[in-house]
Amino acid sequence: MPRSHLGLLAVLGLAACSNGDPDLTKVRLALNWYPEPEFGGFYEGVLGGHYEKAGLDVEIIPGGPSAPTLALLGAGRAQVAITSADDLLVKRLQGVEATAVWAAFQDSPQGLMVHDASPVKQLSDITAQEAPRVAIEVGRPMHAFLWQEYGWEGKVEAVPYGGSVGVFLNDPTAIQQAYVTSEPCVALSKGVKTRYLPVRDAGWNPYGTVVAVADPKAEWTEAFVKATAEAWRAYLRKPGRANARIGELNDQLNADMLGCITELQRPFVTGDDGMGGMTKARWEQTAANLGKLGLLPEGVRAEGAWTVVDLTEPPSPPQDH
Amino acid sequence: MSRTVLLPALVGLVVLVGWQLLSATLPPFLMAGPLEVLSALSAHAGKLAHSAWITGSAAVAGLCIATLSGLLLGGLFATSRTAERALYPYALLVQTVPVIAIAPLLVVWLDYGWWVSCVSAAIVSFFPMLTGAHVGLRATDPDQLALLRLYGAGHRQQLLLLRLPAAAPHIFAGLRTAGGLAVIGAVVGDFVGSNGQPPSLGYVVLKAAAAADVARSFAAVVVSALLALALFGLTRVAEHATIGAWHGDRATA
Amino acid sequence: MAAPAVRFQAVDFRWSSDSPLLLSDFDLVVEAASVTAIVGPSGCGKSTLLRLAAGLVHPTSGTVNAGPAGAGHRGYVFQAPTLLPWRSVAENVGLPLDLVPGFVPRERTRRIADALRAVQLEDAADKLPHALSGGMQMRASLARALVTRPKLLLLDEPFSALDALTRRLVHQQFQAAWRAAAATVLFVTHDIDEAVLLADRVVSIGGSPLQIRADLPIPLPHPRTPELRHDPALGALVRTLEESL
Repeated sequence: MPRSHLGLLAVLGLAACSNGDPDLTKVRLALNWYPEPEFGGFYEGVLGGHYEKAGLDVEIIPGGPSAPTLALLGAGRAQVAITSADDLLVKRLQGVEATAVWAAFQDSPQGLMVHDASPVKQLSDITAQEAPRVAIEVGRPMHAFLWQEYGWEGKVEAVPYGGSVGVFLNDPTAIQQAYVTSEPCVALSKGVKTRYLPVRDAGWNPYGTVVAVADPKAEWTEAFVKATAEAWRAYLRKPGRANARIGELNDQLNADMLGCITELQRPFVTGDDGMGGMTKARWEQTAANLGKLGLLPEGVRAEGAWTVVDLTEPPSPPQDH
Repeated sequence: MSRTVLLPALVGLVVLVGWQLLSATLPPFLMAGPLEVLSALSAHAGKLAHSAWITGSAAVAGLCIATLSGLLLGGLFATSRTAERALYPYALLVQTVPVIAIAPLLVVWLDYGWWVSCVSAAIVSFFPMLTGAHVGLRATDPDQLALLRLYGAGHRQQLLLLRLPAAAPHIFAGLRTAGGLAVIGAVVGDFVGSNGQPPSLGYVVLKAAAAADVARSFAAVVVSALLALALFGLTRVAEHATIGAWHGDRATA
Repeated sequence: MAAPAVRFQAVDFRWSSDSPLLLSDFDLVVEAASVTAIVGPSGCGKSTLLRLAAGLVHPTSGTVNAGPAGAGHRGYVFQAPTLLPWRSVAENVGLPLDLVPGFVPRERTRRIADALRAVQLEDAADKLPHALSGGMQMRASLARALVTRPKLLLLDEPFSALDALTRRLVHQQFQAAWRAAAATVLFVTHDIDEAVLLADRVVSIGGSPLQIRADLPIPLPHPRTPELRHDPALGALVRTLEESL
């Protein structure tokens, strides 16, 4: 084994020994994507000591595409699973015991993107294009929703989106799926300006980066949610420290990209109802949408899928930073 | 320069030139030419080497698991017709398992990373090893077997002195196929089961592509290809060292 | 007279319950220290007689007595050299000694050397089988059969894979070796000339089930040199056997 690996092991071993404080509750937090600013508040929670102050030893486990966070939660391999509201509802139907207690993204970060110079200004403009074609994750809820909502069946062609923006960058008429925390900034880093069309405008707006736990009444849950809210506020004020850590873990993100993403995601994080909060109206809207798409039996409600942990009223996020 | 080096080198040169020309004509962000890839290789050399170590070790470990289980099951099939008939369809099923489908299960059981890639490599390289062992252990010369029985050799002696050595060429033939497959399997395992901590080759391929860093993505692909070649070469070396003296270019019965 | 080396008594044999009877009430006695050849057309079942004598298969009914049952008392030479390709000639010749217990390393080395000397293959001891000619491989196969100093030597068409010239040379070498070993020799062949040339007695068989068609003593002088082929006495014996088949 190379020397550098032995050294790394030694350092990790020491770190593990020194960090293992028996008085802190161990919490493994499973992310549902690569480390990115969309999880900035959680990293700030660890780096800024918010979780430690709340008596929690939080370990963040990055994920990737098809990260099985709820399955990890169910198997006890993680104590907190990051998921999306629609995913949670569907998985609960399959028997997973998980409850949402907080939502980092008030508005869904999903949508479509077009080149800046494109005549498409909103989602409904798409059918007006000549031979419209959208690159999207075929079969996922957003795909089904958009086609149903705008009646695109037979009018707009859906092509599979493989995760790379290469094709989009070369074609000024291209339209593709995008997460506000990802593709627009990638395109910008390659010199292409884009316009982002959020899917919430069409009425599909499940909460994003939802914090789910197995038992919302567990002692540590309240402390965790409070610390998380605090940490996210701190992150939005000063994202530098957490973003630096994210940049280390995800070396594909340089300082420019990190800055781009942090700014773009801000309005989706804070939303209209105040950070972290969740409303019955929105949850039921998501459940109803899933019912219309046939992913949930019609009429199934979102009761029990979520609960609001009692927090002191958070001040509205400051505009200066 | 000897023929064996000159000819492939010439073909390689033609391929590289063709590749460079092709990537120059294509629109950007879709493909990286050899020069770009080379520069990405040197820029990320340390990290790519680390990734290669992770994925490569998973491939080798997976191959070892596949070899062991292939030998055991192949041996069972060769000795018991009943076992063969009962279990063969399931052995066949193993190779049709799409790793992508079972990946979430693997991640929950084994945690992100190395073990998922190892299991994936094992699954993919299992069948050639099973076939090699099965066919090899059944290919025993009946006269040679009669010879051993004449001198009172028991089953264990028959296995060690005759069946296994006679099966070796078939097993190594299976190993040749399985080696390259193991690397593919490990990389696919990386795709679905790696969260980048630490970054495996498949993880880098996917991540870099998603960030439109095509050169880096291709560089990781090149490294995987080299890994597959290396493993293949290793199996050939092992084959030569073990049975090269009596099995090789000369025609066998 | 010494006890016979091989005795078939009222032997019935069939390979499986639904295959025809190959042997029916078959009797044959082979005297010790003699060289007996069994001739018959190809595929008639001659090899089966040898396998019964070797104890590799068992009669469906009746008895086959071929001397003490222990391993090492019988040597067998197959039609093909049957050498293990991954063992050197010396290691191949020593294979029976690896299987039969009771041979200390020094004895093992000595026996292998003796056996190789008997077939004049000392120089090839460290070679691998694929480096040997067909004739040399057959000689190695014989050396292996002789290494345990068997009392009974069974050979299944040992020369049929060799070309005519090699065959003549190998005939002489085999003769010298088995004479020196003073064992009972029972060999099977489809070549009547060869049988008459090498054996003291020729038994010709045929039919289904197998029956003895002729049983001829061969009173020709030893050693049986190649010139004997032209001896009219040999020709007469061959003709008698031919007529029986």
